[in-house]
Amino acid sequence: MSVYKRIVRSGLNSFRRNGWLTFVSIFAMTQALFIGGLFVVLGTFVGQTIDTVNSKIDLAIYLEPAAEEQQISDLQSELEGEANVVSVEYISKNDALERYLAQNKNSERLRQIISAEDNPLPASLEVKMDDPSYIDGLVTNLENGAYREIVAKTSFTDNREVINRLIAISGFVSRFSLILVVLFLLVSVLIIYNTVRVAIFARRSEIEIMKLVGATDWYVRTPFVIEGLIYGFFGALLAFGILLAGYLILIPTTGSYLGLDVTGRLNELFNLSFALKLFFGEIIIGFLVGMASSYLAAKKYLDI
Amino acid sequence: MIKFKNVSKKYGNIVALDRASFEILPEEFVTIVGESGAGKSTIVRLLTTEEGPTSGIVTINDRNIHELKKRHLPYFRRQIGVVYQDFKLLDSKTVFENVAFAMETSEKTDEEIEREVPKILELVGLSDKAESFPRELSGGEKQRVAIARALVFKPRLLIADEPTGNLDDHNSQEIIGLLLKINKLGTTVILVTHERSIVDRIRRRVIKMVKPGRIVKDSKRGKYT
Repeated sequence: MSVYKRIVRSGLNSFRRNGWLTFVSIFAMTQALFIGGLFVVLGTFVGQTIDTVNSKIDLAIYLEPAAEEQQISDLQSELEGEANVVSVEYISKNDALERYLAQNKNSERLRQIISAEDNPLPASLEVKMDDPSYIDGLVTNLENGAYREIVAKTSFTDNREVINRLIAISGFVSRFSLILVVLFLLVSVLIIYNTVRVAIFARRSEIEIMKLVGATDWYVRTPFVIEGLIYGFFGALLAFGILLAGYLILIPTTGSYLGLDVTGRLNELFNLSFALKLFFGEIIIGFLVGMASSYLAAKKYLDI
Repeated sequence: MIKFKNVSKKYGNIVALDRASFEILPEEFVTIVGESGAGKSTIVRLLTTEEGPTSGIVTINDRNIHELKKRHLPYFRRQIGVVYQDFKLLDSKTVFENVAFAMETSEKTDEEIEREVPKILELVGLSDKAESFPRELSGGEKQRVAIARALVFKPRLLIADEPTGNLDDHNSQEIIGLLLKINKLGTTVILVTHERSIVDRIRRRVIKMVKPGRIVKDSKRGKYT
């Protein structure tokens, strides 16, 4: 029992006594976890924004006036059966008119252009998809399939170019931020591993003597692992603190950017559950990285 | 107790020990002498299992020590005390802590440590220096701390590898006197040295080595030559 106590005490002691190295190790851990955390936040933010933009890209299928009700409902149920289609809503000529009138309720002139008796607006099917990159294929099928006679036009026809480019950009951004997160985590592991290695190198004579007086590998190594664990804990705590402070300071200064409500969106993102996930994620990664790098770095000096 | 049977050690093409065979009995006091490079330290490193032989067998109490499993090594090492020329003390720890430190790595309780360490410090004559740091001690005192540390597990065998190499004549005599006293209390002692005056004065068994790693003489009450 007293061995366990001694090991923990020895880990805590060297954490306290190694002044400068402790500082450097925690600093390395903090900045690595901070950058990692920052990219997770940004990545999530970008991802959510892309999702919002994506969900705004819908497909409207305008129907020929001659289309019969049976044909329309057949088409509707066929579309609903497609993969990636979330919902299909039928907008009749009257629905379209009501929408038009509601949208232009401030402009009497526009409202007077059309009326129920003389309604040029076509009926349509509005398709919501979970991933806009499938719109292209769907439309192509439609244009060549059995229902092409009742389809007058789709909203996609005019916007094909723009939508495809948007899809390409959003894919690039989300992949790029993921790569950055992984890269920074990797860099942080290397930084911490190296810092701990320096710390252990400084005490190699101590390790050698311990081994020669008959200490087990386990006895020699565990205090270092505990030390690494503490580095990880404090690093994570600081990194999370800086992120949180940054968020709290940043929030009042942001307004809207490029028509997006950044403040609202950040608030939405940075709720309690996200903050907790981020906090425990950082703690766990800090623990693992600190322990693993200490374990590996000590290994080298244990083979006597 | 200790048997070397045709033991050779080579580092690449360099021969450090050449077919050495000898036996050391319990409670013997053996000096191993020879110029540097003769293979004295190789014998020490083989005994502490820091290294294994290229060929041949080393046994302690009829057990081949180089076939011990890695996880058993720490327990084996607690049965032999080793003292080095450069003391190998921890500068950041007091005399008491340096000795206690070795015991702390084992399953000994704090009470046992509190009880045993002062006894051993008394044996080596350092009771009044327990709270001093190594930098405050003379070379001879440092070596006595190292000997105290080597004795905490009450080993059957004490190996002293050039223990007087960094000491003046007066301190050397004191350390050798201490080793003789420990031997008298029942511990087998292997003293490795290249200092003629020490060997000639104590007149114990002498194993003489010459380059490259050859034992040329083994006399019961020997002199250096």
